[in-house]
Order: sequence, then structure tokens, then C-alpha cells
Amino acid sequence: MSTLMTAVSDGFPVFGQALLNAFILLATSCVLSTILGASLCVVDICAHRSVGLLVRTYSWLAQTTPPLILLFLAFYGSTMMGRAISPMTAAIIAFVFFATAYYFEIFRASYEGVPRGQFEAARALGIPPLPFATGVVVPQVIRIAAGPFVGRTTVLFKETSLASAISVSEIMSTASAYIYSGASPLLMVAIAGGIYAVINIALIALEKQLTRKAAAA
Amino acid sequence: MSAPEIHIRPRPRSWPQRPDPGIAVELRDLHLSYGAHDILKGIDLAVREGTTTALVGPSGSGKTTLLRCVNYLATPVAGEVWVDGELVGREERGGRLYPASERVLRGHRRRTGMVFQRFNLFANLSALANVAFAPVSAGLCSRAEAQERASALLARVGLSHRENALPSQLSGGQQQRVAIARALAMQPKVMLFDEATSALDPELSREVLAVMQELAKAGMTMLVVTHETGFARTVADDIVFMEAGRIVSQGSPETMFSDDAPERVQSFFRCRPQTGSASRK
Repeated sequence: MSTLMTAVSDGFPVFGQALLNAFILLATSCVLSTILGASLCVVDICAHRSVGLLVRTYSWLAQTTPPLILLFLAFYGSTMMGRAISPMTAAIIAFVFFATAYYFEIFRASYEGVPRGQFEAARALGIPPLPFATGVVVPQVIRIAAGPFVGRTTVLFKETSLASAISVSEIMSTASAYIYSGASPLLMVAIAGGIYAVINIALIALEKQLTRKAAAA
Repeated sequence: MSAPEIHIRPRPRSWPQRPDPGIAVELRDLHLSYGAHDILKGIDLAVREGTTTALVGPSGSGKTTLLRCVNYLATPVAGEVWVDGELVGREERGGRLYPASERVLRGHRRRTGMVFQRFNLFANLSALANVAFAPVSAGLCSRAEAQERASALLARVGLSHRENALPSQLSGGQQQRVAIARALAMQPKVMLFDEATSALDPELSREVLAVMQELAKAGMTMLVVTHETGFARTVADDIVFMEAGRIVSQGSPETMFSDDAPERVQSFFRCRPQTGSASRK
């Protein structure tokens, strides 16, 4: 018991920094990917079909490439091109690259989920596109997307552990460092797992609340 | 520097002629096809102001498509659509007629109000907001004015007590009455009803038909696609029978429901129950 307490008390500041890094990676990727995913969704809806095809090709590519490969490409690729970037920056680039595709698909599917009859009603009433989009479509897209969005974000948080592969100091890499320096592997994995579990339970609770709200509306 | 001389090209002889006064909707030689499939094959129809015209006929005869051509939700390949003395779907530039831009088309569409079979209310807005949304978005009035008018319109369709309800909290009949109020909020010259009671059970249909009848009494010009033969018989001023993309027969309810009507019309009405009946307006 005393070993556990010592490990927790000694490890807390280090795990705190790791958790902060994971949060920075998650928050930055999430915010940028949401903006980019929503923008691509607008482009896909409004632009010419050929542009839409480009967007969908990117989305397919980003979703089918393993995140680890993207991380290596961003980190080692930048070094090979003579423009070395920090592991954190490389991780953010890789995460934004694939998370944007997932968020784009969520927004696109949510847009498709808005009943078409409402679009026809807006045309029949002579409502201009912008007020219709902001007043009717976007609120419904947000409502439909809320559940899948939070769900994907919990997965994204778990995926931050992959950033340890390019030496970003996050939760898993910190646990590994303790294990290599002689700490109990089971204990370290349990601590790291516990941190992920607590954060994800909070996110899932948020998802459930949003889904319940959407169902009630 | 003198102002450039402006040459006004004389309008060609074939320039479309405005309908006679008193005609709210006029369709001239209207054709519409999807690929090789002809849906409308030369429709000519005039609807007088303040009258109700019922479009009846078997499924697939082109009734809904015809209605959708009136507000250009469906674009005819040939022919003219006139609503309230204005040529719909075209705009004049430099003495020539061109297909109307979306902006101009929006103006044309505001002259007609359309009520759909599946209501199509904006799911995220309350009944009041549904009715007030279009006038505010189109910049026709302030939010306060629109809400005041929306409130009055909801009272007119008997839904004052449901102003704050979302569409999902309303019955089908109530949703359709909100949809009617929403269409009326744009102060249209003509109301188009596309099988407005088809998705409702007889009891809910009655409340919608009562609102439509009240509108007819108030002198609103209405073009109604309906399977409610009772409504067509008692409320409509004219009945238009369509089949295979053409108007087969047209006349007053008295004529169309008499033995003088064409055999095809008689056999059609014989097969249908007398639903949606109401007292003669």
C-alpha cells in the first residue's frame, strides 16, 4: 500500500504534466479539426461536385491511414525535409489531419439527417439561404452531431496515447518511463488507465446528456 | 462627357401577354419531363382570383408536379406560369427574358404559399417561430411585427394555446395548421395545397379541412391537390381532372359530379369514398 502511495505521490506532478500535454494535444486537435471539418462540410455542400470529390477522397485517405503512420510521417517527414518540428507540433498536425476527416463525416451525416422537406419548405417560402442555414439547419446539425461528436472525441483522447511513439510526453509515455525505471508495470498501467477512464467517463456522461437533450427536443 | 445613349430594344411580337385581370394563376402550354419521361404534356389552366380549384386524378397523373410548377419548385421545360400578373421563373434583362436568378425566384415564390403533405415544419423552432421565421428572414418586417402577426395567424387556425410547442410536440393536424399559418405569414396571393390531409387520419383531416374551408370563404385563391372528393365537391369552385400529364376534364363540381361528366371522371369518383365533406361555402 505504501509503495502505491509513494508511486502516486512521487508520480503525481509528472503525470500532471503528462495529463496537461494530453489535454493540450486533445484540445488543439479537437478545436482545429472541428473548424476544418465544419468548413469542409460547407465546401462539400456548396461547392462544385468535383471539389466535393476531392474532399471525400481526402476523408477516405485520412480515415484509412493508421494514425501511427501519420504521426511518423509528420515527425520524421518534417525532419527529412529539413524543417524539423517538435514532437508535440508533429502530433497536432497528424491528429488534425485524421480527426478533421472524422468530424467532417459526422457533420456531413448530420446535415444529411436534417429532413429534406424543410429545405423544400424554405425554398417555397422564399427564405434566403443564409438565414435558413443559421436559423434552421445549423442548430439541427449540432443537435444531431452532438452524440457522435463527443463519442469520437473520447476516442481521440484515447488516441493521444499514440503520440508517445514520437516521444511526446503524455500519459502512456510517462507510465512507460516509470516502468523502465523499475516501478511496478501493473501499477503504472493501472494509474494511466485510471486517468483515461476518469476523463472518458466524464466525456461519455456529457455525450449521454447531450443525446438525452436531443431526444427530448 | 455626355451620357451614353441607351437603346431600348423593342419587345418582340411573341412577348408573353399578361393574363386578363381577375386571373390569379395562369398556366400556358406547360411541359415538364424528367429525362425521357414526360410528366406534364401541355397544361393550360386559368384560376380566377378568390376561387378554389381542386386538382384531382389518379396517382401519377402529374397533379403534384403541376402544383410545384406554379412556384417553380419543379422547373417546366416549356410553357409559361403567371401568378398575380407576374411571369414566374423568368426575368427581363435588356429587353429579353432569361431564367430567373435564385434571388428573383425567391421574390416570385413569395407570391404563393405552399402547404405540403408531410408538413415540413422547421423542427428546431416553436410553432410561433415557425410562422414568424420567413417574414423576418426575407426582411419583410421586424421580428416584433412578425411575431405579432404569427400570433394572430396561429389564433386564426385555432392554435393560440400551442404557440411555444415544438413540431414534435404537436399532432399531425396541429402541425399542418401551423404549416398553413406559416404559409399565410408571407401574405401570399395564392395558396397551394399538396395533398394536405393525406398523412392525417379522418379526425385530424377534418380540422385541417375546416381551416382550408375558412380560407376559401375569406376569398383566398387556392389550388388544391386532393383525394378528398367531399372537399372538392363542397368547397371547390372548379374541379380539374388530370390523367397521364394532361387535363382531361374541367368544370364546376355540379358538372363534374353529374351524369354529364365524362365517363372516365365518373368512374374515378365512383371508386372513391366521399371523404372530407363540408358544408357548401
